[in-house]
This record gives sequence, C-alpha cells and structure tokens, in this order.
Amino acid sequence: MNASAPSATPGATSEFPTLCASLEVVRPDFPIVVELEVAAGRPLALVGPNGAGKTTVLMALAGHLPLKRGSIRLGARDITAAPAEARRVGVVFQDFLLFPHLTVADNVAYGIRMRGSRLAAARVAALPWLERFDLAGLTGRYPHELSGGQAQRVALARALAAEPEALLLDEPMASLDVEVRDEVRAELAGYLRDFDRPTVIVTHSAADVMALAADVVVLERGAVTQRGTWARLLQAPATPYVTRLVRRT
Amino acid sequence: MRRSAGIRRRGPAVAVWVIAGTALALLVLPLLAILLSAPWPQLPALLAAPETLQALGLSVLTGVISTALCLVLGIPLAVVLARSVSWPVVPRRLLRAAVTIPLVLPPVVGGLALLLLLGRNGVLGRYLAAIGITIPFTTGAVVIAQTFVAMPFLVFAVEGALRGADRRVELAAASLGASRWQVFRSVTIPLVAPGIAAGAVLCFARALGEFGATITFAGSYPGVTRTLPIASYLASQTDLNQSIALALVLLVVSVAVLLGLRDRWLPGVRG
Repeated sequence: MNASAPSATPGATSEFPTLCASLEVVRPDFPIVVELEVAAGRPLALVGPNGAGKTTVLMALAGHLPLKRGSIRLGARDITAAPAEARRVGVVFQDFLLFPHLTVADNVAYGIRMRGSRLAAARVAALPWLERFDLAGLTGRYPHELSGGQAQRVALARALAAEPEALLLDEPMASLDVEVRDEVRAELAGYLRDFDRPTVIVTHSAADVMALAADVVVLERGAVTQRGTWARLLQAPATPYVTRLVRRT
Repeated sequence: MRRSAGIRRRGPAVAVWVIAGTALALLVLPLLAILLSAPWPQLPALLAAPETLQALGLSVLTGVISTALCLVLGIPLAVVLARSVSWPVVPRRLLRAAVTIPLVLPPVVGGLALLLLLGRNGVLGRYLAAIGITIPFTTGAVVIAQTFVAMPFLVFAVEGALRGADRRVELAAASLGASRWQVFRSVTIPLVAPGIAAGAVLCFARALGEFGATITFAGSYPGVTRTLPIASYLASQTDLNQSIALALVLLVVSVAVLLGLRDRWLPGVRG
C-alpha cells in the first residue's frame, strides 16, 4: 500500500473514542434495554436468537430509531439526539443496501461527496478505498452485477470511505452463500483488525464471534443475559441459549 | 401441448369471447373510423394550415409547462401520499380522495370550480384582480386547467414507484452523512425515476387531450387558449376534414405515448 492509500487506522496518533450507550427502545413485543461499552480496537459482537432485538439496538445506535430513554456517547460527543447523518457512525447493513443506480465507484464515493466534495474529487478520493478492498476491477459495475462477497466489500469500503468514528455491522455474513462465508469472514476479520475505532457486529453465528469479535454481549428478548469474552462464555454459559451457541463450535 | 402436472386449463367460454370481442370493437373501431375517414390527399395542407400549427404549438407549449408543473408539485405530493400509510385513517383517506378527485370529476366541473376560485369574482380571484392579476381566459388558465386534471396521473405513478422501491437505502445514505434533502435528491428520486418518467408521459398525454376544464376556465381564443382538442371540436362544426386532421394529430401523439411507456413502466401491466 502506498503512503497516500487510506489506512483503516488513519491518524494513528490521535486517541480513538469509546462508544458508550445506555439504551431503552420501545418495541411492540418487549422493551429493549441495553448498556454497551465498546472500546476502539476491541470489536464487540452482539449475539442473540432471532428477534432478540439485536438489529433494533444497531438501528438505535445509528440514529435510525428513536430512544425511549438513554444516551449514546462517542468519546466526548453526546450523539443521543444527533440525526443519523451527523453521527459519523458507519453501518454495513445485512443485505448491504448498495445504491442500485450508482456504480461501485460512485457507491464508495457517496459518503465522500456528502461530506462536501465535488463528484470528480470524490471519485478520486474513492480510488484508494477501491484498491484497498480489491474493487479496482469492478468500479464501473452496478450492484446487481456483483457477487455477495463483492457487494459486502463495496458496502464496507463505502462505509469506511466516509471516515466514520464507529462502525456497525448487521449480520455481515447472512446474505452470503454458505460456501464463501469462511473466506469472506477471514477477509472481513483482516479489515476490522485495521479499523481501530469502536465496532459492533450483530450476529447469531458462533463462527462470526470467534473470527471477528474480542468481546461478546448476549441479548435475549431485549435484555442482556451475559457479557464477556468468548472464552468466558465457553467456560460458563449463563443461559440455555448461550450453551447451545458455544456448543456449535 | 405440454401442460404442467397434466392439468388441462380450459379457455374462456364462447360467450366470453363474443363479449370481449364486442368490447374490443367498441374501443378500436372508432379509432379505425378516423383513419378510414381521414382526408389523406388534403392532409399535408390541412396540417400545415396556420390555425392547425397555432393550436398544435399552443398545445405542446402548455402541455410541457403543465407537465413540468405537475413534476415540481406532484413528486413531493406523491412522497407525502406514500408516507401517509402510517397516518390515522381519516386524514389518510381524505388526502387520497383529494388527489383522486380530478380523475373522477367531469372536467367541465373542474373548469367551473377553477373559475369560481380564480375568476374575477372568485374566492381568490377577487384578491388577485385587486392587485392586477387576471387568470381566466389566458394561456396561464390553460396551464392551470391541464395541471388540475393531469396531476393525479403523475402522483399515482410516482407513489406506486415509491411503494415498490426498497427505501431502506435511504437509511444507508443518511448513515453516510446525507441530509434529508440530499437523500431525496441523490437516492429517492433516482430510485423512482422510471415511475417519474411514466407519470410525466401520462401527464403530458392527459394535458394534451384536455378539453372540458380548459374550455370552461380558459375559453377558446385562437393563439391564446385554443388548444388542439378545442380546435378539433370547433372545426367539427364547420369543416369536418380539418377536425379529422387535428384528431389524427392527437391520435398519433396518444399512440406514441403508449409505445413510449412500454409495459415495465406501468404498474400492473405486463406484456
């Protein structure tokens, strides 16, 4: 990588903030009450059964769902009331949600444009990100022309090119074919290792937790039932769900 | 013939074919009659007549302006209508009814309503007249009448596209730093572009064919408010060949619109 290429650790001299959230979100079935502390460089996996409220927590952190009460702090910034566009929290959605009318290059350049760059300048600024995520050969393609793994790389490049201060990934492997998951997961783990800002990964896969996360928070029916490292969960699973989860490995 | 799982599908009964054929004849034969009655040898001269060109020019001009007006006003209205699904039932139905009214209202009633609103002594018109603005019986009145009757075509086409689009990409755009206006401009509008194009074409066709509201609200002044349909109707009283020539122009435009729309732009219509 040359010196001007983007690093996922830009500005290595500065302190990267911790994401601290204390959330209460109203849902028709049950309320979701969660406290999270995510340190830069220690990706946190939010795991739980289907319907436990994991994605709801992620959407609340991203500013796409209102809180009933609580607060979200990103370092010194209180972003509780900030709209999604002002949070600088990047999101990789489960089915990636690439812009269908834009090419790969313009998808990646989008966040740069929204931060004030003109289209031509944003395209230039996107080039190193395209190279870094091995997308240089796909710049002119549209999302419907991409494989699942390629689409995931575009979604990640697009999120990181906007230089977020925290990154949220919602079931990053769920839209991929089973055969490619191991390979893509290993790639993703590499990218996340380089991204030393708070990262939350929603998943219900033990393999994702082991490969991608340093810490785990278990969410069941809207409440945290266990937290710790994966080793801790293996050692002393607190609920039948956690027991089943760690047994899968 | 191969049929799945050996199920033999029965065609419609003979009576259904006969009735369907009658319906089709009712739709197509009048148009065929125009083609059969057209004064083909004199057609170039009739179409090149100054009054024809004047009416055609006015129709195209007002049609383009009213379509543009429908786009500017109708797209935001379509966004609100698409979002109204989460509203309480009464305001939601009232809004939908208001947008639908011009579709079901006789255009003459629409023209009269516009006259009562914007006429010299109208509800708003008296205040406009006081500051020197007179709308009825002007080219502006033609545009307003056309916009009134054509707007629902644009609104419903765009609303259908909005409902069919995966609007979660708007969340992705917001998370990338796009403000609401930037999301609307750079994501929402391109997402529903085919619906906007279909709506604009339908809108233009409806505006071009507008007669009742226009003649009531704008009258029939040559070069000012006498559009093609009005010119065709007036000519039918005095010079049938001229009327047919003008009708042919409108027919050609309608067929061109149909061909231009194609199936994929019309929700619920698949070739």
